[in-house]
Amino acid sequence: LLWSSGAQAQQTDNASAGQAPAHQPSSRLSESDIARMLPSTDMGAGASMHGDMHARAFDGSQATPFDAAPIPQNPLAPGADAIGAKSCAVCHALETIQASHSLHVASFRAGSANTGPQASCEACHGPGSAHAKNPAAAGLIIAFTHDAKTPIETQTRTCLSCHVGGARQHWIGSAHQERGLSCTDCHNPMTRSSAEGVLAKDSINQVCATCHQDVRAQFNRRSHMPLPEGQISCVDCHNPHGSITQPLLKTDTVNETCTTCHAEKRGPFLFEHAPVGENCLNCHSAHGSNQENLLVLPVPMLCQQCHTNSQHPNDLLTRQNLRNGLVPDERVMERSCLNCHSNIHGSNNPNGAKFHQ
Amino acid sequence: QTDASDSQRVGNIQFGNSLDPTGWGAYAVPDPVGMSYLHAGQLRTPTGVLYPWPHQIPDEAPLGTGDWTYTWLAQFGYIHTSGDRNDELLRMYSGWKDGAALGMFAFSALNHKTGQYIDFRGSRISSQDQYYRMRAGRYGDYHIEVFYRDIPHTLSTTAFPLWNGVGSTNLTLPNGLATGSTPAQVQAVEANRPRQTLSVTRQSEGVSWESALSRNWIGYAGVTHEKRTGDRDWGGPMYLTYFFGAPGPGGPGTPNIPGTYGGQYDTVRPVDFTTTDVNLGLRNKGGASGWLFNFTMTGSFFRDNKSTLNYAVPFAVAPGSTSVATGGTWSLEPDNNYYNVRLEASHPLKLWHGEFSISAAYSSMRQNDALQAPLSPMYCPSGQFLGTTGIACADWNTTAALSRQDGDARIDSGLLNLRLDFRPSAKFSWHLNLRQRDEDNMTRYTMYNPLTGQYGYVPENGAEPVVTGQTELFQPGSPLYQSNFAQIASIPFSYNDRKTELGGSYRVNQNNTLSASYLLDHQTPHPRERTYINDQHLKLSWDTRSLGSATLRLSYEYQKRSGGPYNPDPYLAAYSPSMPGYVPLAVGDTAFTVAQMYKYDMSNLEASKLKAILTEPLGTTATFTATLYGNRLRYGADIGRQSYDTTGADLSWDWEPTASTSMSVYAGIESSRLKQGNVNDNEALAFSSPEQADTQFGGPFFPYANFWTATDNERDVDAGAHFNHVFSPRVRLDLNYDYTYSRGLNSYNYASLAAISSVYLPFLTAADIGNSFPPNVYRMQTLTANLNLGLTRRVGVRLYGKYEFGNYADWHYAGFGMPADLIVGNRVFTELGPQPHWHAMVVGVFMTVKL
Repeated sequence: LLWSSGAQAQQTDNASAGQAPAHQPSSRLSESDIARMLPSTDMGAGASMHGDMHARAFDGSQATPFDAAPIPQNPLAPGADAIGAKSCAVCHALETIQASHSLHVASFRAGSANTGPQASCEACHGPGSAHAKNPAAAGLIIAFTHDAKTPIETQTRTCLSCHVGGARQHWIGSAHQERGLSCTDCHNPMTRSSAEGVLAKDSINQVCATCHQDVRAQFNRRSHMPLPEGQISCVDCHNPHGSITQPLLKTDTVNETCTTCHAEKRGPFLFEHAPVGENCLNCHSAHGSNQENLLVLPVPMLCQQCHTNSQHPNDLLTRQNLRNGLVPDERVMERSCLNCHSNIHGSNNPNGAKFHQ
Repeated sequence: QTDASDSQRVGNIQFGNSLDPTGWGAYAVPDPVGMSYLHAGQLRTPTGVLYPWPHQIPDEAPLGTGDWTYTWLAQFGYIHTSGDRNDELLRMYSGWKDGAALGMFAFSALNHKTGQYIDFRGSRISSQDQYYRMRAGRYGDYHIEVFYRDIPHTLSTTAFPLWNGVGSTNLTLPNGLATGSTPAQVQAVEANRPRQTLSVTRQSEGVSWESALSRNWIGYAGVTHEKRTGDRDWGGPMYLTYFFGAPGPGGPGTPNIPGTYGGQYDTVRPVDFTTTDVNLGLRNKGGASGWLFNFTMTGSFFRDNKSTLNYAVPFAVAPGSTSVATGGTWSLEPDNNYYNVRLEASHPLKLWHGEFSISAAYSSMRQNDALQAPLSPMYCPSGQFLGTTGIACADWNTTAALSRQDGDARIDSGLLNLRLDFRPSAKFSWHLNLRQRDEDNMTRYTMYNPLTGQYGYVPENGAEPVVTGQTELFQPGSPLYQSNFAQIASIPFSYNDRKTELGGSYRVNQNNTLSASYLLDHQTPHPRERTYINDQHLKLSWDTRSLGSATLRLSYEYQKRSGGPYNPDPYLAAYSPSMPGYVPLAVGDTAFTVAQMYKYDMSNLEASKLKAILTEPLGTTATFTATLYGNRLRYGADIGRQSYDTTGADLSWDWEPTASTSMSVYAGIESSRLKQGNVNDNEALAFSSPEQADTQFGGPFFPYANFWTATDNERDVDAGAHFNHVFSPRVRLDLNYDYTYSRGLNSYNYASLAAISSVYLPFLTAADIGNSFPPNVYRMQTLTANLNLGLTRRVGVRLYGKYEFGNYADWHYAGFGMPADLIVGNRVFTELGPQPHWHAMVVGVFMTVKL
């Protein structure tokens, strides 16, 4: 195990699929050295693989579904066979230890207690024999990290072979799928970095902010959803695995998402305010705003974008209408238009057509 | 396996607090051994971001004699706050309070053989800020979850409500005040009102279950119950006051004397809500048929336990008239029910490695609350009349004045989404998506009073008729009311839209992918200013890994919105001119609005949006990330929103040289500019000239001279540095500095002084008005430190410190410096606004004990 720090077996660039494995000049071990270090047995994994794994896995009522985790095909090593987790651990001893703390691998271990040893490392990384014989050649094992030769589609398909449906029902066609993200851009199933979700960082919000820095910054504004305080996460509203909405909302519309927590604004009311029922984002900035109450603009300017009408809505209001101005005006001070039209999300009062009551 | 990802349901996913926003900080101790003996340092995500060092694995101990092991950690101590501890912005979502606190209690147990597990986490800053959550189950088989939490939301810490009874549905005047008081009398009382905090606490609990019912069938269910309690600022209109100001003793250029008609009241409303959500579902993850199937039923039941608010007012709405309109009433949000059924299914296609998916949903929002009487009998008692209008309180202060007794409101919606994805070759994929969503708003309410035979309503708690003699009442055949332009019915807004998208992507090579899509969003809102809108989006993107080891995601979107002819007043059916018996006035009806006003959700729009996200690995220990973006939106309107531009950049550098040290630095800037136009009406023509009906911009009623524009310029800067270092196995320091600065400037231009209200013309000059409001500023700097000292293998000390200082300026609160300032003529306000400057320190000492 005196492996050179520069040799990252699964990451090297200079070997590609189907080509002869390239020698790693930075390695102090030759490929034949590595081959000799492998255990002489595959711990029965090959036999398990060639049997009817699925059927056997479900014979016992105590077995978990992980028993049936299929070993994915690696298109870059089509002839490889499974060699079992113990074989993997010969070299990847530390990974094995760290991963044992991850819910993901712990669950595999529990599952493999009832079946052969194949239902662990190779359930994600594919059959390992080719990689074991030639660990310096990239692509012979399914890898999920930067510069991996495994195509992103193979990576995500591997994960989805078990994590199929449910929250990931709409992965295909989602923004993250279309932009070439892999599951392991957000998740790291090899260690427990987060309380839940085998995330790549400590929390959902940190994971999302890795790419969405501009959105993260919005949460620092004067009014914001309580993400920085740890009370809510991006995934409270969004499903990063895909949905039928373009911003990956968990519900079918913006308003359905918002009114899950703000149910009082759902109504329906006797008197509806047209932009409210259409889309909360007409007036609110979902993540954060420099105005109170996540408003897109200060009131009264927010309202005056639509309300010209006659008389009091369309006047130019100025600094002299402030409390310390020459002509203090209720349309500017404090809650501005909302001083009177407080039921702006809708009124159920028979006198509430203008949201006054 | 079951779906523990939680990304299917809304809310209660994240459990953390200001003491530890991740909810996992106590375990975030990097393991110096690293992740692999085969390579130094950490690997990177496919995009190129370094994975953090793995956390140290907590010790486990056998539980009993079986296959169970367990581990636990408890962190308890004391929190002390000092400085401006009551600052609103410090406390917005943090329940800081001096006292004992639970930093973290975590317990985990696992049966390594069967995969059964229990995980518990809890933390408590105060009774308003705490969470406890347990998950248990068996890997891949089932899991259950139970939680309880309180989330605080502080809305104001500088509130001085004038009224007694805050928190109830009945706000009464303090001793010494009665309707008809003078501003000086009210001001004297207000000056001595106690300071209060307005806040709302969300207390919620829930239980959920998910289980593999068979190999391919998974069932799930959940119930969440949330109670929201507290108070928040609200309103209280008793007709406009600004009309009635008088010149100050110094003449023009000196403060005017506020009027003594009308009144505005910044009241405090109670929040006493409960929401119960029920979720039940069944899904199939692909059996022999190959269908991925998910069926969900959701019910959400909102109850408002205090659905009215009555408030007495200290000022007479008209001098000398104290017998009626002595208060107002609000209908707060009605109880409502929401139902949703949803079916999702997808199936692979043999053709071109395709997939077909269908989503269908039907939902219904309903409420049928008992309606209130239009006027409160407390403030408009039977036997009294509203001023000189002849309107009898008895005709309007009972529910007998209503056309029906209950809300009977309902909006249903249906959704169908069809999608086809094909991958004819390894390099090329394309998709077609069709989505149709229709709403049916069944709410119809006619404002008809069977006691009087009148349509319409008595506005602003009867104050407007008292002050002006005007009403919103219409009555055919009545000389007094037959020509009133009044709203007589509700407007059942509904929105239907059909989206058609065609897109595809082509993988040029292993490192480059080009994508393009075209979306036509055809909307048919009703009744709105346009009968249809076509919103077209063309999106192009390029994702590349060909720039060395970097990943660049570049996208551009062009949007063009157009639609049917713009009708500035599509609401006539809800107004009295649509009724038989309506007799137009000789001078016609006042223009509803200027014809050239285009509401920004209905107006034309041409937009370009560009965004680039670059992730650049730097060596083996650092990552540089940059985001650049710019949006340009042009609304094609002179009146209404004209343009909205945003430009921003964010940079970050993350460095993980060793397990014992990590550091990140970030900085970002964004500027935005939103411009709008508006036009003051020629108030001299209102109700006196036929020209008042002219809706044209540039006409006599909306002349060019009355045109004005307003521009909101905002600049946001944020920056920070986070540093973590393990000095020795027993000494660990996390140090974070975060800086946020926002500056907003609201400026305005105008064609002439006629843009301002005509009542101000005697008082103001162009020099007085200037061209902007004072800038709004929000600046906050936070220094947070966590020092963890290990005393023994099991026992340690955590020292927590947070120093926050900032300043805040918002022109809405300019001039409100002390409670007496909250009285401005016939107006009563409640809040002084957030503190202009604050310094606050939170320190905590915690003992950490673990297995």
